Amino acid sequence: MDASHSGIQEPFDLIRLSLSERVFVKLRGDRELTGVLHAYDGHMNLILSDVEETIMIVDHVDGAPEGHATVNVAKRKMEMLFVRGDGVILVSPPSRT
Amino acid sequence: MLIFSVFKTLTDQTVSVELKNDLSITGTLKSVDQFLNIRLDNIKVLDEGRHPHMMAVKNCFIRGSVVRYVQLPAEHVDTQLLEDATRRETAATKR
Amino acid sequence: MSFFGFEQNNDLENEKRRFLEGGLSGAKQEDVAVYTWGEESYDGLGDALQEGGDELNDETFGAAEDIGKDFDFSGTALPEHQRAAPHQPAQPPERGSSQQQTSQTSQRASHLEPSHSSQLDAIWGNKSPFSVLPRSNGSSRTVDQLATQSPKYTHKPSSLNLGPDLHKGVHTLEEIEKEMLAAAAAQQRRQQQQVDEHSVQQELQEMQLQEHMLHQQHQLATPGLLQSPTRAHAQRPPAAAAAAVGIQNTATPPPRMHPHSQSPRFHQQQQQHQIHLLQMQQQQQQQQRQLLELQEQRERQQRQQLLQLQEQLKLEELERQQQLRLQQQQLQEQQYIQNHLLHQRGISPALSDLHHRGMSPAMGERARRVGRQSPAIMSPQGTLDVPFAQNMQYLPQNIQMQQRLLAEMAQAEFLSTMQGPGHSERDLREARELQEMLRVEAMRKIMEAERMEEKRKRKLDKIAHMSRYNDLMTQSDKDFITRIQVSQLVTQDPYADDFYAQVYGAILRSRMGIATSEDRVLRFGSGGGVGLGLAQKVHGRRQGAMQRMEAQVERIVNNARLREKEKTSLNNLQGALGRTSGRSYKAAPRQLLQVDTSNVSTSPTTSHATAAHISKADSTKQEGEGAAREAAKMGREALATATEGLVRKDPLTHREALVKLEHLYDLVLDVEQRRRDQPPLEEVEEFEHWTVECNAIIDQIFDELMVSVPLETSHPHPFVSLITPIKGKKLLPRVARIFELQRMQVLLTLIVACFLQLDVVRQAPLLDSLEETREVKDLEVQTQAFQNSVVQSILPVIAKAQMRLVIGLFGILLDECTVHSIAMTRVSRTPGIALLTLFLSRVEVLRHNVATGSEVEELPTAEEMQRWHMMYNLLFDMIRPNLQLLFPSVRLALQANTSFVNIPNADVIDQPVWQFLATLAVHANEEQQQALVGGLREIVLENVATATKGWGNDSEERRRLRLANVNIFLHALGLDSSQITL
Repeated sequence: MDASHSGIQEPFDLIRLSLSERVFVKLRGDRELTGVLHAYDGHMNLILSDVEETIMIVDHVDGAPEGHATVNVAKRKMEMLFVRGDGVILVSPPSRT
Repeated sequence: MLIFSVFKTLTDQTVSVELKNDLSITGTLKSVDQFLNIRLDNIKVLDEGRHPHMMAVKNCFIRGSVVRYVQLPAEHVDTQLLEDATRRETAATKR
Repeated sequence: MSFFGFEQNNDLENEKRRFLEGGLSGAKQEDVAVYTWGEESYDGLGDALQEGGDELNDETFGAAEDIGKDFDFSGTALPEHQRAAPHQPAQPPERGSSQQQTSQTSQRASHLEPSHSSQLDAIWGNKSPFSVLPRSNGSSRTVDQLATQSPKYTHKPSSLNLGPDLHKGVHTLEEIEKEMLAAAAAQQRRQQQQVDEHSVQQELQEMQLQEHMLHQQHQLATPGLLQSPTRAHAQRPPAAAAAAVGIQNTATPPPRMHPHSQSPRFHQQQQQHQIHLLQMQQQQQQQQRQLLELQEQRERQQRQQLLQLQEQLKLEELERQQQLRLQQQQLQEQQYIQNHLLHQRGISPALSDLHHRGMSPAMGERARRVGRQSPAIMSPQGTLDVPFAQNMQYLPQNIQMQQRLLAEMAQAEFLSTMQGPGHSERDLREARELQEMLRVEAMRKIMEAERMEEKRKRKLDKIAHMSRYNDLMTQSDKDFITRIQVSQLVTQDPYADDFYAQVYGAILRSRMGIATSEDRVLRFGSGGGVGLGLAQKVHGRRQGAMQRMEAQVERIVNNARLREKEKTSLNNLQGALGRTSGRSYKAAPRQLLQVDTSNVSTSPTTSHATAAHISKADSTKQEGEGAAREAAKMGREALATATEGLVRKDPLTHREALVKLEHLYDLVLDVEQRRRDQPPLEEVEEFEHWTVECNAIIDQIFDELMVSVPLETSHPHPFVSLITPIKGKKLLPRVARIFELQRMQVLLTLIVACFLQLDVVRQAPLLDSLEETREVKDLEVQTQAFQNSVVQSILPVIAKAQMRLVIGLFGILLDECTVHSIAMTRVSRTPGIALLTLFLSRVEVLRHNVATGSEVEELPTAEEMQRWHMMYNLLFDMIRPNLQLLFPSVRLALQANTSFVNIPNADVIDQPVWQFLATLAVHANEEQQQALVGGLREIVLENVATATKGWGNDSEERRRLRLANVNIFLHALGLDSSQITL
């Protein structure tokens, strides 16, 4: 399958492949999402279902040596979520093992 | 237009809007426009203790750009239709 | 307006004379006193000033060069003769102070006398004119207002200004002073005379009047007490009203608009507004006049009292008698005034009226009687009411009714008191009951009226408040904004752009059984339109607003469409203003990677290069196989028919499957849209064209589903790869709707043939674990999707299948299982069990048809039946050893080393197995049934026991489901759970 036949002409066509598939979304503010992609638009606004959000909270302990910040990970789940596009850094299929 | 169209179908439903300042407001979606500005009624703020200034507010208009997430009622979203609509829109913009 | 027979115009004449004599030069020299304009006591004299005639100033003031010194307010440098001039306007004395000083003298005398005796001296002694200014002019203000406000008196200022100045020519200060003193003295004398005359007159009049004015005399023991509130009432409202008028006059025009840009409606409204203002002004003038009259009346009364005080003889005793009554009267009087003031503040007159009447109906009655007797007291009220006639007319009618009721009530009371004990007890009681009823009724009405009045007031207030913003925007402004908003929403294809809302709304409506006639799209001419989204619950006003908006949109949309066209033809402007991107706001971010698609197809290497960018994993697999794949593609059509020249291929990658699926979705959506736009059958040519096009696309879909590709092409089969992603599974019901039966049978055969390749079957063992991993959950979702989409779409195919096909498919399925020696138990957690159940039940239906003789053409042959029995026995033998293990709950229980009843959701996951066993039992012969019962006895007993005895802590719902499951199986054997005794 070459590009012309696969219909892949622009990056958005790649996102389209992931419609109704589980995707990994990296967001501003050390947030990551995984969820099933149901909709997107030109602004990268997304609608995901069965979402799990992971928030990285980096705590810099005072007096601790450089690079010894502790990272707390907060997770939460949401059934159906609209994600505003301006916070989206990347959308990708989840790494398959 | 797609997302706008979706929100239009969700009017009078309860949604939770999470803002970029971590304020999370739950309320009845009254209206939305093409900028995805949102008007909510009967709002309730998550973790009111942290936002005492919001306690007296009963309804609000949220500028679309400050929204991070909107949690939607899953039972009122037709995902199959949503995907079709997305496909249609991408096809339309390509044309 | 002569209330007491006094000479009516005396005051005015007096004022006039005062102007001519005392105030004559003052009027001319106002240039200093003009500074009082901001004062509350401003008399409006400035307005009456004649602007012309300045050339005489020199003659009046002396040398012109000295005028500049007028503004040296320190006064030290001011020559004596000039200092007098600016003080002249101060001459008319302040009434209040004069009254304080000369309480013994008559009012008329007080006008001038004190000003010469005490105040003028003070003025002469004072160095600064400002010490006088604030207090000056106060006394003449009421008259001046009359002069300025009523046209009757407008001639006065001119005569004031011109007359005396022309006559007198140049006077020295001494002359003027002398003259003034003389005049003052003369007037004082004259007034003294008048007072004397008056007192005689007064006496006479008093005698006459007293007969019918006993209730009328508003004499007060303490004039100061009365004076202060009434004066305040009398004077403040006009000033406030004047201020209000001033404010309104300046404030009403919308701050922003140039009058020319206003809509005609605005002008009209403004005119109305101005008329309204004029009316208000007139009202206020009237009110002022009335208040003046009231004041005058009061003054006269006071004068009477003063005279009486001087006389003290006849009246003293009478007064004492009347004291109580008078105080009542006074109270009423004040209430009247208050009422009228309340009028002004917008409080219902009727209410306050009622309020004070309600306090004591008897008193009200008396007041009315008094009013009837003396028109004097009624007349001011009567005239005062006139301005509020407007208000009165939209008073609720029942207020008038209330008044009537109250009057009746009062009368009844009055009568009852008058008639006294002479009447019978019964009459009295009846009267009292009636009275009570009336009172209750009246109270109710009053409350109602109060509420309504309150509501009306609030509404009016609100309207008045909002009307400030009326027509702030012109119609064109509103149109402009609407145009902007609409142009954002208008598109060439409103159905496409509002697709979700449109279809969702249609689905919702059809689900709710509402007629789908209502179209939620506004279409305009050729193509453009606005998606209105879901039909909202609109009521009343909003509906109207909606319709208006729609009409407006329709009007505006042509422009918007033109604009849209301009936008699309933006490329024409290329280079006119630098680079234009040609894409609208809706477009994706500007494409930075320019992949030239025309080159790609001609050179496979570059295609790989780009593919590598996009997906490394895919490209590595494809490396070096370009040629083979090209060949496979070329010979695909051939492959579909000729199985001989088989070309083995690598199975589709996940991504390839997704790409194909997306293309398939495009095609399916296209067909679905075309089906919606089906041309009417009458237009034969168009319809044929449409049919051909649709069929072409459907053919393409069938091709791209790769159903006809030989089984051996790849493992898994490309079709299996296609239905591995969830959207592939979800595609099947939709293609099932557009495919004919034969194609679906091919599809069904393929699914059965590739059954073991299906993801949901291959991964089924995953489900036999109690761990809740993401994979398990995903597989559950996939299985559910397969059940709901794939099985549902092939169900009607199986339901119509003939025996031959069923046997064939059944055989394939069994063959696969035996060839690959897969334990049938594995099937039980997959849709395979559903397939088997479907086949078994279809055969049962066909056998039933044989028995009843229906569906003759589909009757299975004896040979087919024999083959069927053979296969059934094969299946039975396969599952016989591990009957219990068919149940997922049992397998899970074995893993967890517990009883299957402890497995959560056991009944739900076991249900398909019970159904399968039931269909199996239906086909079983005697011996097989024995085997079934023997093998399942334990489980059946355990299930029935837990369900009926309520062992464990199962919910009612779960127990019912459990019992139902068991009964499905038992009923197939002709048994029931109730027959089982534990």
